[in-house]
Amino acid sequence: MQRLLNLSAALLLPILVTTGSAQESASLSRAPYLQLSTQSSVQVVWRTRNSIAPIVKYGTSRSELNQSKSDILVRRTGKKSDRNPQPLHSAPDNTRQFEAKISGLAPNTLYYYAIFDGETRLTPDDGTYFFRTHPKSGEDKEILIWAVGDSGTGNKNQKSVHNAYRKHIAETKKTPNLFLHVGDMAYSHGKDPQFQNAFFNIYTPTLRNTVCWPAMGNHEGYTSNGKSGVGPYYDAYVTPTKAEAGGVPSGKESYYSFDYGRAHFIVLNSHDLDRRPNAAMAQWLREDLAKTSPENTDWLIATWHHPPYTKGSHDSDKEHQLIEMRKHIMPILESAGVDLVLTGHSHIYERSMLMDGAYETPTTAKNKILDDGDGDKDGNGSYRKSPGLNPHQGTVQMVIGNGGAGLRRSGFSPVMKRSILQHGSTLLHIKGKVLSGTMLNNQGQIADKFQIDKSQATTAMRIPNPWQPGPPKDGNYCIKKNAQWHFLAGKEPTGNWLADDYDLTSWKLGKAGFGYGDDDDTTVLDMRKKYTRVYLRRNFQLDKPNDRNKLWLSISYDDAFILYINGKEILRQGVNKGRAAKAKGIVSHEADGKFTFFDLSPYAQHFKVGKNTICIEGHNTNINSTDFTLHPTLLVKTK
Amino acid sequence: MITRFLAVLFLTCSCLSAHDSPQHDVDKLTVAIRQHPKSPHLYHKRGIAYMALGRLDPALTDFRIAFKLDPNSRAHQLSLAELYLLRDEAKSALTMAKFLIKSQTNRHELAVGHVIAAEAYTLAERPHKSLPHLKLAFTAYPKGEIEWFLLRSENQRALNLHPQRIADLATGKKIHHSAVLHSHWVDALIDGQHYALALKVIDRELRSRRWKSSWLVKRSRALIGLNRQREANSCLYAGLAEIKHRQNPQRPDLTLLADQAHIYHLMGNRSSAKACLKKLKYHRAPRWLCCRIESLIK
Repeated sequence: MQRLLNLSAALLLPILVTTGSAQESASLSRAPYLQLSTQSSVQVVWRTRNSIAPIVKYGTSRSELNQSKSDILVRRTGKKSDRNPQPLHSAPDNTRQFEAKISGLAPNTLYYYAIFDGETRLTPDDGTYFFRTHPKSGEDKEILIWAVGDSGTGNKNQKSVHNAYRKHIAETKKTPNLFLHVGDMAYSHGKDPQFQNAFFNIYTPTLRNTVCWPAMGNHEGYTSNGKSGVGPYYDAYVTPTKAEAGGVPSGKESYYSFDYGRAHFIVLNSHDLDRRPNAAMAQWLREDLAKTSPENTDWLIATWHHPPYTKGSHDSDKEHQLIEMRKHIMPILESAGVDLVLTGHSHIYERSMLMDGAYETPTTAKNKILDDGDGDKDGNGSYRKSPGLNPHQGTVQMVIGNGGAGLRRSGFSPVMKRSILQHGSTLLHIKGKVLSGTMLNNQGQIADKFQIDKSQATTAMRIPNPWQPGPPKDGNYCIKKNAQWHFLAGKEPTGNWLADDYDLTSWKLGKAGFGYGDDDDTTVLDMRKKYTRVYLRRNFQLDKPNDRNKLWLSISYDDAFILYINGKEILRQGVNKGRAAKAKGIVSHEADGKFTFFDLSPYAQHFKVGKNTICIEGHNTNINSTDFTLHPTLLVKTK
Repeated sequence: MITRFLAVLFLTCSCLSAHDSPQHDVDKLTVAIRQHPKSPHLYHKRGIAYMALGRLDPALTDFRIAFKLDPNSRAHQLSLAELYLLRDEAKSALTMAKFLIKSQTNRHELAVGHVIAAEAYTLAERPHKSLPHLKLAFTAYPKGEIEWFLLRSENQRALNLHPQRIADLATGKKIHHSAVLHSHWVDALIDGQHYALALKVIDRELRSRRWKSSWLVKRSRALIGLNRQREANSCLYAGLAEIKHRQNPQRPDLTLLADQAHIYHLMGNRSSAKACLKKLKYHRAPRWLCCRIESLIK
């Protein structure tokens, strides 16, 4: 079983070092990528700007590509004709898109492939062009999924998210079986060149060996039409319409389903199709769920773009599409036993408690939460559901619109356990009766994790007054305002200043806040025109194990800081990369006498009962800045 | 003039490109409209933002202004037509459909215009007027869309044109391979009294289904048609048991609740069917769903 996921290091290392199109032949205007994989087939798609004699050679050994496919669909720009039966919508002039369906493959088998123009090889022989066919339906195989939303900026945030993911899979020596994208992959209008720049050029090394299963976002909707299936989005993807990969036939590329091992995936169009329960999409959904066999399926995962629950850059209590998906689609899914819903649109990471039946507007959590813990097996414990596909045993909702676009929060949804303003992506791992989810931020840190465990029968109980998210209304301070700290100003710490036994004799003692300007600091520093960094350190006590899950940092800061707990970095605000003197990309932030709350419960594992050490490095944007403030407090939320 | 055009274009693009909530879009577009009150594009975009907020009245006002300022824009015509349909304003939707038919630049656009006209007539409960428009739509664009086949089937059902309905849905199935069209085709077989054939298809379908209730309803209807009441009853009881297992009593799936009402109706249990209808109304089920159950109970 491990063989499925643990590809050899030899296989993975080239993935990291190959950066994409630079290694490929100049004649490829869109590098080869995989689409619509099944137990016995896969589609390889690529583009050129010139005429070629397209051939895909493939085989189970990298050195022996002993099978070939030359009967390949060629799509061009221009008008529909016998020669061009499926013209491209708006690709650059003279573009040829090649769609090679390779069939007759063995299930759960690793194949290597290469693209040829006649006898000329267009893709390098570097071991990164491979695919694995789906296991037989119902076969118990580990599944690793990478999921991203709202990524299509082409900017450094998107790249850092992808790089963190690539680094993570190289370190863990695992290659995902699937890539789910929940929409908004090509800002701002989903045009063909925007797809090229913000999707294909960024994810090239991933797309050549992992199939992306997309959901259409509103930004793709500016140029693509879900009803007619026409536009750059529909040119880019080949999705099932005839149940080629499982499920029942949708007849539309914009919504579909597929099986992978013992998981069934449903992808809906929440943007430009009728979302009402009598509409064709909802009718298809009911048919699809009714035919999902519990003999072959343990997990139901649904994805689309508009989130039923969010308080990020969008508000699910105010926006029509979001409300309709909650009101009309969620009851169908939950009465069929859906386990996980992945959406985007709202530029934030939010992850719910185990919940069921919250269809009202505005959303309330009372009697809708079945487990108000964090779902972390190392924290409050995994969420538990009975084996199989059982109605109303609880769903976890994930809003993963943090893949690259600017982040924003409008509040705290009452059903969400985590609400994190960090760029990142989501990894899902299914092993038997356990599904694990993690949010990997763009710094490569795990910012959230949870599990759904279906190994034992359980009875769902509704919680009348569940845990409430959001900043504390009341709490017990571990570190009070104006508390005394060790501080180092105008110098750099020597040695490992984060270490438990670090010698602080050369540091001074002072009361928070630290800084200058604005007349809001207790310990006034002579920073201006001299230095831009200050280091703080002190110990604090935690009495109860559960307090670790209720901790909040309340801090007044100007401009940026990095927070370390017991030697580990857990949070950075306004520091793009690097630490201490090597920190770069400091973003301006005015304290304005206000304290900002940061939820530290996602990092509960870094705290311990007893003595803990907190270290903070504060950064000013530049040496001439007129002010600086660093005034941290730490409290355990009680209300 | 060109400067003004470019300014409007810039404002529109900046609003569209933003990753803001619809309320932010409304606010930005309102400022832009104050600067450029004659720009149909800005009104149209604000109308779309209002639609996203579910605010149909101000959306209608904006779409009307956009249409008045630029009546030849197909986007304006289409938005207005779709909003009229959403508001159950059949007559106004029909007027817009005429504009859409006139402004078409290709066969698909022509077909879309006729489908809007057909939807308007269906809304006005005039199926005999709707069908000719659907015929023209399919003539212009023979492949059609799944929804067009469903709309034609609904009108054919209302006029008891079952043989044609069965044939047309079969054509749709062949083109689109849609499970939804397959389900409607089986309903058409039953309505057309092809009970034995329907039963054969239903039994094959039931073998591979986890949730069976909606197809057990079909099966019981076919069996009733074949005068096999006892078998029909056992299907209905099985369907009822499954629905009760799946329903969240506090927040029921309304279509399952409607299926439950249908089962009670077929069992001759009028009071329970009425109780389901009452629950549907309590949970604010859409009008079409309540109407369907009301017409059964009558």
